[in-house]
Amino acid sequence: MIDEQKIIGMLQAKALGCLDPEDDKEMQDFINEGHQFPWDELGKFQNIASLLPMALNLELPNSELKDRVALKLIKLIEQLRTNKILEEDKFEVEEDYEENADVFTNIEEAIVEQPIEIESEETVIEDNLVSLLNPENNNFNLDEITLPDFKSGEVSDENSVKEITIDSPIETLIGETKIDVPQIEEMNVEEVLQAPEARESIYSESTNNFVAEERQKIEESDEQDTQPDLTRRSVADKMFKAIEQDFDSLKFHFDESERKVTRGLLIAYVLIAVLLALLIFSFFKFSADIKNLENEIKELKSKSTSTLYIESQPKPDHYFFS
Amino acid sequence: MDTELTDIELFERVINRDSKALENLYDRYSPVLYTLVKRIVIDQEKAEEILADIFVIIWKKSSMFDINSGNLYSWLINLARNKSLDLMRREESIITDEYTDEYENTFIIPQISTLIPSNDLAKIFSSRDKIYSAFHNLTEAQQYVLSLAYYEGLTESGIAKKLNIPLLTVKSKMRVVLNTLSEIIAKEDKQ
Repeated sequence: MIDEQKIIGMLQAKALGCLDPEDDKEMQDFINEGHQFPWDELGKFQNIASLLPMALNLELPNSELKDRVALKLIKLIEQLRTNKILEEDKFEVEEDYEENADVFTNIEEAIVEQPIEIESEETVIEDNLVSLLNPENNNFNLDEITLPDFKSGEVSDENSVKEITIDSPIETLIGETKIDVPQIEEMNVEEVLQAPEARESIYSESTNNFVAEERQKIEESDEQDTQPDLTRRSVADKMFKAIEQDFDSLKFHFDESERKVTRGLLIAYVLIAVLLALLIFSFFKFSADIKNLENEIKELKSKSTSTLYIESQPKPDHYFFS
Repeated sequence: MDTELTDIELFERVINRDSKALENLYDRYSPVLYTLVKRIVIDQEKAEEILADIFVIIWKKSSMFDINSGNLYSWLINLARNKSLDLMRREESIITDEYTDEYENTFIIPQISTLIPSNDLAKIFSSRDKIYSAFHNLTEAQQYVLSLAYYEGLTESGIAKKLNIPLLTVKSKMRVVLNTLSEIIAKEDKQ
């Protein structure tokens, strides 16, 4: 029995993360035993403990660190994407395998079970015939006999079943049994019964067609299986697509920055043009002002010299009338 | 716009794989996390490396945070502390276990009580002065023991060994220190 008070006394150390491993185990046992654990108290102490870094003088990380974090995340995302693609491909391969396995089973069923069914029916007929008929002079009507999985569309006109008549007291017994037999030529019952090859030929064509189709399917699937580089190629394609996407985003960012630079250059050109215009305007204005000033100076000069001249001019009558 | 979001709202976006939200979270939390990490590992380069790793873990394991707890701050602080102490212990060969995904889930991702009081960085920043003064109201010995436990990652028996004092003394000190701190903060909150 673990003392509850002891556990409560451990909460502070637990919150500070300095609980000794033995005490930690004791606490875990206490929780696992289903005792009422003071989660709220622990939460309160965890909250207080997490405030401790706030008493430190805060420092700012290097501004480049944000880019490094971004780079790490991009790498991580790329890695996850690659893993996902690989997993998807693995899954696809597994699915293909399962599908192929189904095909194999179907084919096995088709190849193995169908002939057995046919043979069993045949055996029934054989038994009937052997036990009840005298095959030497008798023929029986196969026209009305139908096999269970026969498709009438597959029967060509040439190979259509011809009527065989059986002069037998048990004609009515067998006559009701219907088996559609594809590609069956008229045969003597004895031949059918005695020569297994001939029997085979009755069913072989349709069965062969079916088997051939299925074989083709298997071969196709085998071809797919024997070309693992195709799968790899698809992985590579997907990876290339992912890389292309990245390139697209980079291109987009590059285009955007290029647009910004062009806009900046345009603004700079406009500013330069405005400044140039201002310069030219001020040049002409100042030169005009200078000219005006020069003219004024000239005028002033001319005025001042004329006054002096007038003042210094001797009176003409000074000599003559003095 | 994002700056107006609460920590939980922002983190919900991170969980939903919003990289812009993670960037905002970085802007918001990197100073306090970096300060803590650097206090533990001392070296600036290591601290930066660990901080980058922490944000990768946040991105990868964001779903492991119990959004109902409403205290992202404590989760991130504990995550940063665990990661930094793990690196220190590995460098000192105290931990030799392989750093696997499972190891990270068990020892690096914090196990926070589901009944922790909700908290937000903005709220904590507004009462930072109170926290600062509460910590500095502790005696030097208390502050030292606290820093040995919290920043150096020593266990109670480790502290006892280092300070050459009985284990029971350390245990009682731990209880007293955190209770005192809790009382001071609660008292200042009331004021």
